[in-house]
Amino acid sequence: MRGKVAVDLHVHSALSACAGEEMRPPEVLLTAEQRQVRILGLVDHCTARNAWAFVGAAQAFDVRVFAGLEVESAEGVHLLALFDSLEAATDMDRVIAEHLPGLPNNERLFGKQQLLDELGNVIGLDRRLLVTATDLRIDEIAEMVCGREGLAVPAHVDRQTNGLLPVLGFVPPGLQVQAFEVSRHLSADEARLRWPDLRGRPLLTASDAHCLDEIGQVVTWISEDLARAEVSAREWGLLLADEVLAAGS
Amino acid sequence: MSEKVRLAVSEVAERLGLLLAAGEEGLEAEVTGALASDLLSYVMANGKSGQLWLTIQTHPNIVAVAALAHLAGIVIVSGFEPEEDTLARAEEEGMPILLTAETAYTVAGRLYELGVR
Ligand SMILES: [Zn+2]
Ligand SMILES: [Zn+2]
Repeated sequence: MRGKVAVDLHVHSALSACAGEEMRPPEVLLTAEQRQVRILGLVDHCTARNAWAFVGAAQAFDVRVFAGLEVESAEGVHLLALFDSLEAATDMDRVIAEHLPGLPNNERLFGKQQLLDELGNVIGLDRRLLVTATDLRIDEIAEMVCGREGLAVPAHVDRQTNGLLPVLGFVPPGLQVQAFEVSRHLSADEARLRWPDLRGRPLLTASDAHCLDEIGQVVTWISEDLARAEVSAREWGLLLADEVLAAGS
Repeated sequence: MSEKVRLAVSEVAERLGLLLAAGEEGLEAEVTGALASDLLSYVMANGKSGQLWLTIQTHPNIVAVAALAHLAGIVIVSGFEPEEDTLARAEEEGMPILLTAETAYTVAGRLYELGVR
């Protein structure tokens, strides 16, 4: 698409139990760069502990990284929380940790949760059960993201498992999110037909990549100007919302 | 009469007309109770060994959650269809996945009538 830039705001690292071990900073960023993804959202389930490694490694690539988490609300809804500052992402991580159930991960059943450095070396394992719900409501999480100047996007809102609309049935009034991610399985128009509550709201698509090959397979197209905008993730999200709405998606 | 009976997953499946989709290996496990929930996190925290789990969730993680809580099996209700990955996972774990067009409410009622309490 000429004059447009691809962004993939939903990519997991090897810290997500269900993601491949190859989801290390150099490999992920190289793949993103090769596929001309200029902005990548790095999220893991309920944690941002690998974000620093990706932000650091990104300096060697033509890819900008938003550091984030994919938080699961008490209702079972997934929400992307993306930040332009590592400090904000780390602070969000700290608060979310206090709202997890405190159960151990079961590596055999769920998979390993690897902590990585910038070069992709495994520097530890996160032993907590992270593929589970926090005790926070979806609106509370969104508010926490906004309060940290972050970008809040309910993930795969159409998906039966952990998607906002199948789980809640509607978009809660006043929910402080800038956009909604629709999964690759349906178009924006189909989504609005199926869920009239999405009409007039900015819809994005992203890969939800759990392995290298999925990175950049599903993206959102934005303008060069927006790709370069030096604003907080929250403001960036508002500009993004304007753009996708103007583009009719 | 409300005496507690001992039933294997296979017997429950037969009496309720549930269709076995995967995890045959676990069919002889005893059913000690049941729970109905579509929140995986709830089942992770509250599921008890030997329970049958009634849900509309079809994602592969339901098998991991059921295995973690040592459940006897998963009944996918209301005609929802499990994903291929879910069935493969259930085969690996020997976790029975049973299907029915009935709702969780109806299946729960019939389980109760059977003596699963
Ligand atoms: Zn998700
Ligand atoms: Zn995800």
